[in-house]
Amino acid sequence: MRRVPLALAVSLAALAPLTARAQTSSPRWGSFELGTSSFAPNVDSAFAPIPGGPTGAGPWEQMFGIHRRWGLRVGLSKTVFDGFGALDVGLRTGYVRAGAKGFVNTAPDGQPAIWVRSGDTTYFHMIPTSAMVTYRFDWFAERFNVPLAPYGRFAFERYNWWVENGNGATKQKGATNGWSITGGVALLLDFFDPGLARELDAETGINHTYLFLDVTKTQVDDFGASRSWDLSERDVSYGAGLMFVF
Amino acid sequence: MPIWQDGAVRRPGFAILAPAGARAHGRARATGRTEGETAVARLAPALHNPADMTRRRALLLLGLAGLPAVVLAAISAGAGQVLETTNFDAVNAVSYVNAAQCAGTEPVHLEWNVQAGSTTTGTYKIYASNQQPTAATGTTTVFCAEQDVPNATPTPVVANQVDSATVSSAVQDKDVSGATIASAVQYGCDAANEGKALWICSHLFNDSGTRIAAATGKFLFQVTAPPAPVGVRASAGDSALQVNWTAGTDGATVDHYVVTATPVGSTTVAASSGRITGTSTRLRGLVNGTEYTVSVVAFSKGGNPSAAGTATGTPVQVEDFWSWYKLQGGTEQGGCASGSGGLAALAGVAALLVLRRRRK
Repeated sequence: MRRVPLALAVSLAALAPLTARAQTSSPRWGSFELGTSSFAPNVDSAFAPIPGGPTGAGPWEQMFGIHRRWGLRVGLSKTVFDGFGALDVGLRTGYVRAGAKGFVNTAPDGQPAIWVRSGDTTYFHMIPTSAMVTYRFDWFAERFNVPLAPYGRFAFERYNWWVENGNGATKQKGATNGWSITGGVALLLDFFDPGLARELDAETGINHTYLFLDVTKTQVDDFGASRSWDLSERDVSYGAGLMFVF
Repeated sequence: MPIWQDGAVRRPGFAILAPAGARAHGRARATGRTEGETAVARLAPALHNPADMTRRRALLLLGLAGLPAVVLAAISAGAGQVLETTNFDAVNAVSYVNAAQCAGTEPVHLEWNVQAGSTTTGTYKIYASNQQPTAATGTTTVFCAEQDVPNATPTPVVANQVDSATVSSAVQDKDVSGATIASAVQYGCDAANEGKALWICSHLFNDSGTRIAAATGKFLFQVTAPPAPVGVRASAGDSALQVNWTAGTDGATVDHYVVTATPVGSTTVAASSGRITGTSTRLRGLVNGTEYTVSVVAFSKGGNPSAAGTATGTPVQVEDFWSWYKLQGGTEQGGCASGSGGLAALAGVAALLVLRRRRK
C-alpha cells in the first residue's frame, strides 16, 4: 500500500514535459490553506483503568471512546523565501469537539459505584492554534511541471480548550502549549488543467492550488509540566485539505 | 400557586404586571429613540477626540439602555389603536378575549392611544361592538356607533359603553371587565362563539361633552383551550431535568408552552421555563436527589391554558468530562501552565518576520 503514492508520483512525473515552464504568474505573497485534521489526544497516558468502571484506558477513552475526531483548520502563511523551494511562516487555527453522555453513579450509598450513562451530554471543545514554519519543495513543480511538492513543517502549538457540562455551562477551561512536526505531500492541481489555473491566476492572483495530505507528530503537554494533561496525539494526526498559493 | 401563561409565578396578593412595565418602556420609546439616534450622530465626529471619551461612553450606554425600550415599543398601542396588552398579536394586529376574561375572573388589560391635538382634559368612554367601526360623517376618524344603553337588544348590538377613563396623557390604560364586554356584544363564553370578532373603541369627549377623537381595536373571542400535552417525560440531568413531550390533538391551536417543576409534596414552583414554542426544554437550578413534579401546560394565542401534562423526575449528579477526569486523579489544573512559553514562541516567530523584513 505504501508504494501506491510513490508509484502515482512517478507516473505523474513521467507524464510531465521535462521542459522549463514558460508560464508567467502573478507575484507570490504566501499561501492560504483550508483543511481537516484528526485529533485523538493522549490524555489517558497517565491513568490506569478503574476497577469496576467503564471500559477504557482512562477518562478520555471511557468518556469519548477511542476513535479519532476530525476538526476544521484554516491557515495563512507569508512566503519569506522563494528560491529553491518556498519557506513560509504563518499561523493556523481551527476547531475540534468531542461529545458524549456523562456518567451517573446508580449504586446505593455505601456500595461500590455502578456507573451508567446519563441523559446529559458533556463536551470537550478545543481551538488548536499553530505558529508554523513550512518548507515546501516546489522547485520541480515550478520548473518542470512535476505535480508533487513534498513539504515539512515545524510549529509551536497552543491548544485552547474548555469542557462543557450537561447544562451547557463551561466547567473548566485552559490552554496547553507544545510543538509539532509535520511531513506531507502537496499535489499540484494546476497540472490537470493548466489553462484554468492560468485563468484563475489572472483573475484572482492565485498562482497554484494544491491538494495536500500530511502526517503530524505533536507534543502538546505544556512542555512536560506536571500540572498539565497531555493533549499530544496518541500516535500521529492526519491532515488533508486545499492550499492556495497566491 | 398559579402559573401564568408567561411562566411567571404569582403569589396571592402580589400582581406581577409585566405588560405595565412594557407600557412604561413603550411610553419612553419616543424619547429613547431620539436620544439613541442623536448619540449615533454625535459619535462619528468625536471618534478621534479623547476629551469626548466619557461623553461618548455615556451616550453609548444611554443608547444601549434605550434599545429594549425601542424593541418593547412594538407592543404599545399606536396612534388611534386599542389593544389588549397581554394577548396582543402584533403580527395580525389583533387582541384576544379569552375564557377567563369572558368569565370575569381576569380583567382585560386595555391600552389605547388617542391623538387629540392639544386636548388634555375630558373623558374617554369605552365601547364594545360586534360591528366594525365606521368613519363619522365629514371625518376620517372611525368610531364605534354609540348606543349608550347597556345590554341593549335587539341584536345586532351596535356599541355598548363598557367603561370610562379620565384624560391624563397620550397613552392610556385601564382594566376592563371581560364579562361586561362579552355581555355588551352578546357573546356567550362557549365554543359557539369561538373566533368571533368584536371591536373596542375609546371615544374621547372634551369637557363640553363633544366627541372629538377615537382609538379602535379589533378583538377575537377565544374561549376554548388547547389540547393537553401528552407523553411528558422528565429525564434526570445534573441539577436539571430534561423535559420532552408531544403536542396533544383536538382543541385550540397551541401558541406556546410553559413548563414548571415543583418538589413533590410542595406547592412552591422551583423552576419555570417561561414561554417556549418547541416540545422540549431543560429546567435548571434544581436540587440533585429531590423528586419533582414536572407540569407542561399549553396556551392558546388568547392565553387559554390546557390541562397540564405531568411527569416526575429526580435530578442526579452527573460526571461531566472534567469531573470524571478529576475523579480519577487527573492533574490538569485548567488555565495555562506554561503561558509564558507559548507567548514566547509566538513572539519568536514575530521576531523572525521582523528580522526578515529588515534584511530586505
